[in-house]
Amino acid sequence: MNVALAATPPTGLARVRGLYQGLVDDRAAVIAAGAADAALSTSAATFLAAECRWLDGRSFDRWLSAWTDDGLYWVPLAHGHPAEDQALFLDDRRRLGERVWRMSDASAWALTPGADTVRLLGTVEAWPDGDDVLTSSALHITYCRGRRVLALAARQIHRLTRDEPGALRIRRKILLIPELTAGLPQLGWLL
Amino acid sequence: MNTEDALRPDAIAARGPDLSEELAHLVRPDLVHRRLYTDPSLFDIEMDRIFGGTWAYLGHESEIEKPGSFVRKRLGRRQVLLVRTEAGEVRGLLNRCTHRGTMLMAEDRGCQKRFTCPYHGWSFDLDGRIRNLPVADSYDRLFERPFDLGQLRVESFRGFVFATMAAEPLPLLAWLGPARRWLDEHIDRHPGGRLRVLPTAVIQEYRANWKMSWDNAADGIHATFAHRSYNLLGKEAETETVLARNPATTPMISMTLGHGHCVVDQRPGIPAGPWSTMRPLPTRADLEDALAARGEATAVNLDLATGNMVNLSLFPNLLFVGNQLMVVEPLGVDHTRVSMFLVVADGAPEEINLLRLRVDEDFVSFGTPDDLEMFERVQEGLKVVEEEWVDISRGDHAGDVVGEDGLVTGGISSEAPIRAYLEEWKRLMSKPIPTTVRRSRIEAAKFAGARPARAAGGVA
Repeated sequence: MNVALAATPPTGLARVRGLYQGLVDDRAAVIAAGAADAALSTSAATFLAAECRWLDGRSFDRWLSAWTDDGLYWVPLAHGHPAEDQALFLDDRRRLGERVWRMSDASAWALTPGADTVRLLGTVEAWPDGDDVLTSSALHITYCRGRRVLALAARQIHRLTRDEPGALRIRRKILLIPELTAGLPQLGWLL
Repeated sequence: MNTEDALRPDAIAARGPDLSEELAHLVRPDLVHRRLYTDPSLFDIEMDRIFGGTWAYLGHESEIEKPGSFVRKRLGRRQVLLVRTEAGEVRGLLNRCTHRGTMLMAEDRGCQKRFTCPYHGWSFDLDGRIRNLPVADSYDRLFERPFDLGQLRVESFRGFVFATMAAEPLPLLAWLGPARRWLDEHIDRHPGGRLRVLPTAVIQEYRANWKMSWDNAADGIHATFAHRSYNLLGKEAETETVLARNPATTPMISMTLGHGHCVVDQRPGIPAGPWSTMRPLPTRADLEDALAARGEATAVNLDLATGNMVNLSLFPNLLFVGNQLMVVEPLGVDHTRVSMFLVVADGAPEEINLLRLRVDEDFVSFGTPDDLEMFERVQEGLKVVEEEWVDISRGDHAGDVVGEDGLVTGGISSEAPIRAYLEEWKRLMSKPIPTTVRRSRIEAAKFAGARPARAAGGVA
């Protein structure tokens, strides 16, 4: 696979267009890809399982530290394009930090008291893409807050990269949630 | 024509009981009864008299630009296809086949030459006329009922399409009344008056009565408390988040506009303009730099990237919040859907519209969830049968200014907008409202007189 993020221009409108196109390209590449790389899939699965564990365990700071500084997290509403359609959110690292901050803010009424979640990770497929790793996996989230339970299913696409010591980090994440177009309770808790 | 004959396809019927006495008890100048939010039988009547008996927002013309394009909407419990006909007209067709009532279109939007029922193959032109009825000979008295699709009365104000089932609705401009000026202002801030509504809405549901959205719309004081978390984010980023004001001293105002409409004008509280209230956002730095490089990072342009800080609310279902159109859809007495459609300005620089995409998801992420939480907590509290009354007197004789036209201007803690929409609610709900289904043709029916020859009427 060769989607290559490196071509993104450094500044301005072209950079924004490039970032957005990169997300769309990742989504398209993963959906069209052939059989995954077995060894890479195993190591990526270990990392994605840890991501689920950090989020379910409310170790949000640990989760945030697994992102690269240029990270982007996109939750499209349907089959949209980030330059043309609303998203549930499209966050850079800074706004992800705000999302994490709200998780423990006592005046974030929709998140207080906090929810318990369990993320059930399906088969993880991974492909090399230059120095990065692209992955696809199905995800089932059960969310329980107070006496309310919500179940969500999603396909998640990760672009992972290796930092200096060789550990995997999240560079891009796309969460495709069909139920978004059907109407759901507030998702201010979703990471 | 005797349209009181209930069997006629163009019958005018006024359904349900006279509630005048009961509602005079439940809605008072300073109190409202909990049953307005909890009683399923009142909800059923709302679905006829509020959502159908008066004008309501249906959609925007930019959603159906080409002939044949349609979007699927709801008015109360009715599914409606908002359609652009071959002739360029806008129609609101009931999304049900006139044969058995089958829902015609399951897609949310699309472009069609005609609408064909999947059940028995009946098809209809874009203006609702029946086009083809397979095995028409199987009807002995085919033309005794006109099979053209049912329609709503629709009317457009500068691209905003409103619809009603009322047999004799107010003229649309009379219904808008003083709200028209604010709607004009909202449209005119877009270069060339050109708005485009993006097709895919953020849809969120809450487990509470739809009127919570209305109680909240012009309630300027909740923003200080319910949105404390959002305000803290603004403080952290050292921006003047518009909601973090002192509700006792802010010069922001609310105004009632008749027919339940209202507006909150927050601009007096933000002299530095809307853009001054925005925190850093994804892509903001790059897009502002791009504008600056062309000398276009002006206050006028940047203010366009966010809402105009004027929250106009058109009763019963359209709220202007930021650059989103928030459409309130009641699903049950304690279940409501809000669809948030983003508006872009095609006459503005590309960067402005790219910014708009990121600006409004900010409040949807960090503000709206706390609103919906409040609505659900209120609904929970209203379950207590013994606590019958909710006080709505705030501002009355305590800051509100009543104009000669009876419209009220108050501070942002005034509950005059709540009292005003409930007054309109009571007016509409008290007596049965004559409603009717429109159709393209009634003439080829027994109801028009003589039975026509079988070959007439254009049915294949």
